[in-house]
Amino acid sequence: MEKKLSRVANTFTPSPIQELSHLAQRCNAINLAEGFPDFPAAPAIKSAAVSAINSDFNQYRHVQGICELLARNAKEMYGLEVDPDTDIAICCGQTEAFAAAMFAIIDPGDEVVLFDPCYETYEGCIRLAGGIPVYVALEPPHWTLDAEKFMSSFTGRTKAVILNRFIHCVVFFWNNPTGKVFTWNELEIIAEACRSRDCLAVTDEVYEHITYDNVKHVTLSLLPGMQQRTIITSSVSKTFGVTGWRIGWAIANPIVASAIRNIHVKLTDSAPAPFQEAALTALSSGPDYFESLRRDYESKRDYSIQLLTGIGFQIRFKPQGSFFLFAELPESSPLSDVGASLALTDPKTKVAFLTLIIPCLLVLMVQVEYVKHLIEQAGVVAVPGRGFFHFNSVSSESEESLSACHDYQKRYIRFAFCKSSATLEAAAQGLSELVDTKGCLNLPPPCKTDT
Amino acid sequence: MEKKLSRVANTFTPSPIQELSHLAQRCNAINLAEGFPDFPAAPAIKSAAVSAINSDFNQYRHVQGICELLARNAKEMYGLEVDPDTDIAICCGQTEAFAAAMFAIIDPGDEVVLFDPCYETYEGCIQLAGGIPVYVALEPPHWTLDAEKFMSSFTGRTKAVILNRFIHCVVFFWNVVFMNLLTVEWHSPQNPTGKVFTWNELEIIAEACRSRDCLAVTDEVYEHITYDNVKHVTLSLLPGMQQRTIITSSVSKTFGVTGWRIGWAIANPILASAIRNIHVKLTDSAPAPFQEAALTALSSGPDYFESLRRDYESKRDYSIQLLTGIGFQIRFKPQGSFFLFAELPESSPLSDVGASLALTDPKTKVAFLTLIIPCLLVLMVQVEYVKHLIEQAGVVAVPGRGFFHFNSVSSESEESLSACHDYQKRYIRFAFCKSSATLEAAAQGLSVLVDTKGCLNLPPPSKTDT
Repeated sequence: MEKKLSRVANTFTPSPIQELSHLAQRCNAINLAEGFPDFPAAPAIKSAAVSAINSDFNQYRHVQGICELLARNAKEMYGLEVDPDTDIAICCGQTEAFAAAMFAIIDPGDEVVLFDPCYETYEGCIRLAGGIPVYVALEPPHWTLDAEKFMSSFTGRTKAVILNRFIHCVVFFWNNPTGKVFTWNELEIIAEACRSRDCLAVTDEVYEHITYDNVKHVTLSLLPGMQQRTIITSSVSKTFGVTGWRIGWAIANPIVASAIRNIHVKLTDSAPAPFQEAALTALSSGPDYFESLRRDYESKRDYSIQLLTGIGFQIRFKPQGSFFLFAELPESSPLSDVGASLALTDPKTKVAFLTLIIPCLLVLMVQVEYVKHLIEQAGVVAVPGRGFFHFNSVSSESEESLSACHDYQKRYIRFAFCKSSATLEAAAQGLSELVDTKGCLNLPPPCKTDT
Repeated sequence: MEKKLSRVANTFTPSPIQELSHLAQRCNAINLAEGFPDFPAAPAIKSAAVSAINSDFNQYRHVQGICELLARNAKEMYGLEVDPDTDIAICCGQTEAFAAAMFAIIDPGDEVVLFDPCYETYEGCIQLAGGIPVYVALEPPHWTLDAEKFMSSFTGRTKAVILNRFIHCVVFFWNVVFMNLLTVEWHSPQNPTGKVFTWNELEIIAEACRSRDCLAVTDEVYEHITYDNVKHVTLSLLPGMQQRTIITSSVSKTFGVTGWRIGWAIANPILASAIRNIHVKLTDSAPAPFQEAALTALSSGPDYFESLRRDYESKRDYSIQLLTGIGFQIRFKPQGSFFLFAELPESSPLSDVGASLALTDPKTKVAFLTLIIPCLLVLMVQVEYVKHLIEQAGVVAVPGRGFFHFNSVSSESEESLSACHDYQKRYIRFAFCKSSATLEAAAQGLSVLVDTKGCLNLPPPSKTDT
């Protein structure tokens, strides 16, 4: 039956991050893997959804009011002019908005430039549309953009650049999980490449309201010549703590927005109706809501940094946005991230690309004994950083740099801190079990065989 | 910026059915176009969703309990053995289950056979996956399957056959069948034609799949909306079919919650796993609180389903009486789903376009229309007609021609092309999944259109269609 699968389907695997979440659920461990809060959403928003259900808004629906509010917010918060009647497509989450955007603009063979490290989902959508992902590695430890490397990633087939959720166009601040800060120069480099090559940009701005230290999110669309060629994708999920509601959107020029909307209808028919209604309430939130959101997450960030650095992790960049810490294992640790907290997938799942790229053989392998150890000893689940790196990056050309890549990419672990204080304290307690008398992380060496 | 769109995106248009719904909403007309009820869902089910939200089940979630219930129901209702751990992918509605299934099995250039008339969405998904839709026209007025025509639609590139929601494999259960072969009609809760697949026809489809090693993908959203004591039976039950069939369905129609987006695909473990992985890339997960509520819905007892059928059956009968009373022809009493595919009276000079029209953005390019002349009018705005129907009758329905496609295997001669063109213009689809009050109001409205002779009185088509 495998031969009945499409070529693309044969390369897909279960989501490592979701697998880790399921594992955490089954083992009753503390889930610092997946980016959803374990505290309730705001009562007013939940109540709006309940009211919609009870008022029988349970059928297919397009709630135009969402577009009105998004346009208003874009103007007030970012100074962006958006036409609510033509420029917005409501989708089932940012995920679907991104997928629909790929189908809207990518023809088979088109290349799409992405920055590494990168959220796991984009590549799948690009491939479903027949596109070819081209990764440009940002340079550790500061995750800087090398302009020459970036420009050399463009070919005659390059259609779009993705500014992923790890890289918001936040001029002052940067986000999850690398702490990368794009300087204004770097944003201009990206914009200039798009303009000069007549390429599109697709941004994932789900963390647009989760920024710290008084930094404000600025969208790439604001740069000269960029609005007409940028597709913004975002959602209510992270801002309003309702990742399970599946309400997101794409904002683009009318032609692209219309194409995305038409494709969305074929993919999912419509976004969940009662949650579209509730989104009206959410998106009408005043400045107090967003201020309080930032404050709360900022204090969780600070607590988590203290927690992790206290037990020996290195955090070279205090993240300026999102709710993840990309923590580096201590220099002294002989382990790789794989030994610390592991991606778990179905061992029988074929991962075709892994057999092509030797350094990342371990990306998606099950290392049940490590996962068990971390869960048993610390009761915590987090995500190995290597899952966010890709090995066909433009920079990885020499053996030396390949090996260098391999090394640094193994040493990061991503921890989510979008959790209640009680959860974070429990995680602190659990992780402290792993620390020896010298205050170093004490984890068993990696297994020789990875299945 | 059009040149920035993908080739496939350039062929897409807004959904005519959705456009009609929006129009009905804006004009406060009676919406007999789109297939969703205007009466509330069962209180227990709504309450389960409310409870899930209040209990903070609002984050990404996979509710395995849904798979357990689906497997149990498949066994109890259809006699189908399904492994809840491996054979099911929960998706955002049947729509997404179908889309994910296409991406799971279709490579660029693969052909997919569909029966005409056909729900509008399948083709888009097939094209997104790079596939080529191949339509096999069912023959009016009885919508019969011509075996030769069907078999000749297969080529070396045929990957799958779609049994769309217009054609369900509804037959009596085995034991009843053998006792009642002479009296049984094999019904498909087929929307909107009332097509009845005989056992022979289902076997033809199954044999084609087996002999050509093709897959079948079924859309069974109306599986519980069948009438006249007819039971739904899934193609998967035919010999050799379970391993090669992907069943897609959802809670939408059965539980009257089309806006909740909870659906699924059921298939062998390898296909199901591929679909699941693709679903995660497309939408991440189905809405969590509604997954929880689906546990309550799918635990409904036989009483729920009996009462569902009875209610829709009486709405069907009322609507048939209503429409035939004003001159429409309904040659087939539908045995399932909640649509009537009514034919304009013979005496009417109009086409469906004159009666109730697909409305799309006039600026939207429809590339395929320029290639296929007979269906130039499929997606054209005829604002004056729509207005007339809304103004005069206050009712919106769907022109039948949107369900027909013109690259059907049968449409080869000029004569048959022209014959196709004629019959396809004469149907209108009415949804009857509406409250009694709505149906009565529709009756009232439509009666305004009837002249003293009892014929539909509608203005002739405009010469220019924009």
